[in-house]
Amino acid sequence: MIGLWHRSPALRGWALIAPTLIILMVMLVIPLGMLVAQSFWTQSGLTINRTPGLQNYALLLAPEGAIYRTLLVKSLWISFASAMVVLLFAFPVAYFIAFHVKRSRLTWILLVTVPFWISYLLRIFSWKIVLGFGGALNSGLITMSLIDAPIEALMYNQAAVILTLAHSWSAFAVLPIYVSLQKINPQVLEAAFDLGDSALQRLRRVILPLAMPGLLAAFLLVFVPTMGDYITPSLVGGTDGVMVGNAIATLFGKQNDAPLGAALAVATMAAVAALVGLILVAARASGLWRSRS
Amino acid sequence: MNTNRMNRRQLLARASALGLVSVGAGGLLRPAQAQGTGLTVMDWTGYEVPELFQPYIEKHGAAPDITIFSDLEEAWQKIAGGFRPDIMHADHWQIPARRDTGMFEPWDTSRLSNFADLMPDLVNLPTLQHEGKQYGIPADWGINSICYRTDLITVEEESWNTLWDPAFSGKIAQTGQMDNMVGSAALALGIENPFVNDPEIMKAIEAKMTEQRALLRFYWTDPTQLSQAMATGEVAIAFAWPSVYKELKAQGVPVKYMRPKEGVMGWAQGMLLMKDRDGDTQKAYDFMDAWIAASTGRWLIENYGYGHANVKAVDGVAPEILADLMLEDPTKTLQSSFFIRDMPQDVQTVYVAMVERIKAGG
Repeated sequence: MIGLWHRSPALRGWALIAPTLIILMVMLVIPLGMLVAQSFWTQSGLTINRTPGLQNYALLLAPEGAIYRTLLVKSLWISFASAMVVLLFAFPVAYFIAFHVKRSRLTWILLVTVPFWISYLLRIFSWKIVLGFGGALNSGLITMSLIDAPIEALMYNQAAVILTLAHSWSAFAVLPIYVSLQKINPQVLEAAFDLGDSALQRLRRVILPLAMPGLLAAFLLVFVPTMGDYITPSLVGGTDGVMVGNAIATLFGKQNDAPLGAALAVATMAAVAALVGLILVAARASGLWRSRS
Repeated sequence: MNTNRMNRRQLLARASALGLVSVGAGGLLRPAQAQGTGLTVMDWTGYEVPELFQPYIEKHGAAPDITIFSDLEEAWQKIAGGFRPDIMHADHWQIPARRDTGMFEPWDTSRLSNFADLMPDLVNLPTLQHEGKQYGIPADWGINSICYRTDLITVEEESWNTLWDPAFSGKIAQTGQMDNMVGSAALALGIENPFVNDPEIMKAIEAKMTEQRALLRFYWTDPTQLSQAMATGEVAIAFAWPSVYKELKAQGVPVKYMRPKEGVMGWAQGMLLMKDRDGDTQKAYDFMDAWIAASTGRWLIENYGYGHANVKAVDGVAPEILADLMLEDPTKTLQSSFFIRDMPQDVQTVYVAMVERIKAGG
């Protein structure tokens, strides 16, 4: 036995990845399989009928399922917008850390993660305090006599959801962008400068293409998980900011229709996968992203 | 370099020590929990306070294990997932569907010394009493109405239609709970019982709820969210629990709890004895008896602004408190309020889906 262990690198390899594989199987593959199986069942009241069928998917495509399609599209939009906002704000931070911070970069990176040291829920609540009717922003503006009455449009809408999501996920974007910027050889930048590129041209023609893997990774790291979020929309979304995650949660809960919830979850995953695939293919085709930068 | 590595090694050692400690603690805690107090109660947030079962504590020396929930559906799912409480507390109209699955055991009411003092109108509810057996014991009940800021808006006539008044657009908040949303719409429309399988009525309710959505600031999910929004003036008028009204009034916010011309809404709960249970049955009865004691009822009225099923609970409560909560004559209030007598499962399914669809924007 021990002899085999020494002689077979394959066995050692399998043994090495076995814990990860087992965890993945138990925590991901099996639950996912159960979810997919469940999506073919039906439920009436509290009893689940395990005869497989396509009713749930048919409902999602039927006129009665219009609300779910609307929510799916809206969620895709909200997550896309959040991811873009994150990129917009994360890129300058990553750029600064990569090119202008000479010493104690680790401290700077650590600072980026500071908001993550407190609970996700508290971060959302803090936005309620900032944006709320009697919140910091409104009362500040009133004190400065810039407005007479509180601005109500700050809270309980899609914009509030996008802003809160963007803030919550910003650190996830800074790090991959920073890594890809840091790999850029400074001599390349100098060369661009020597050849007559302005700062803006250099950014567009040299830095952005080289940083594209990081930007794409950052985009996906924000876009994919925010699609499933339902806490943020339920706390700051009001009547306008409901996302597909909320519908899935109520289907599994209040509505006692876990199979339809499972089908909607599977459909959401498929939509995200399709969109991500599309983005990756487009990025590859445009030549912005190569496997080696 | 060397010190750095040492630090890392130390850190790792500490982390694994911490991990071991927490695993060990978990191992120690679990048997302690299983030993427990001999009674596990699953109850609403806010109902874990000892004042609500003081006689039980006096008899047994300690409170039972209480697991709280703020969403009944979540609680049912926890039970479906294998959690085994001895006693459970639920909206009375949610009971029959689950009673039929054999989840509950009828109470032996002769073992409850305070049972004879309970309001017959509640005890005899078909949702609590079935085929002569008492599955649910009524304890807490109450009214729900509209709360509004008297300084921010002027209400011409107190009616459920004020929650649909375009003049208050953007200043209205509605509850996100299905039974109360449908109830509000039914009261505003003058429909006596919307919880029947009648497509006409359902269509009218749906249209009314959809109409309201455009006027709302939000559907509130927890009472704190509502009371904060009403305190700042973000929301001027809302469907509110009495506890929200009481809290705002205590803060000095100028609010009024409406007496709509169509009547207020009534609600009631039932306490249930689970069939599959591990706890001590005598303790379960003692706990139940403590909950329906007159002293418990008085505390509930004075502190939470709810009603209590024990007719003696109002004795000694200041008349102005009772008047404020419409509890001068509890039976009359209960009988005159809009009250869900029964909700067939299929009707419930339709309305839950409808409400969620409307909330989501459909």
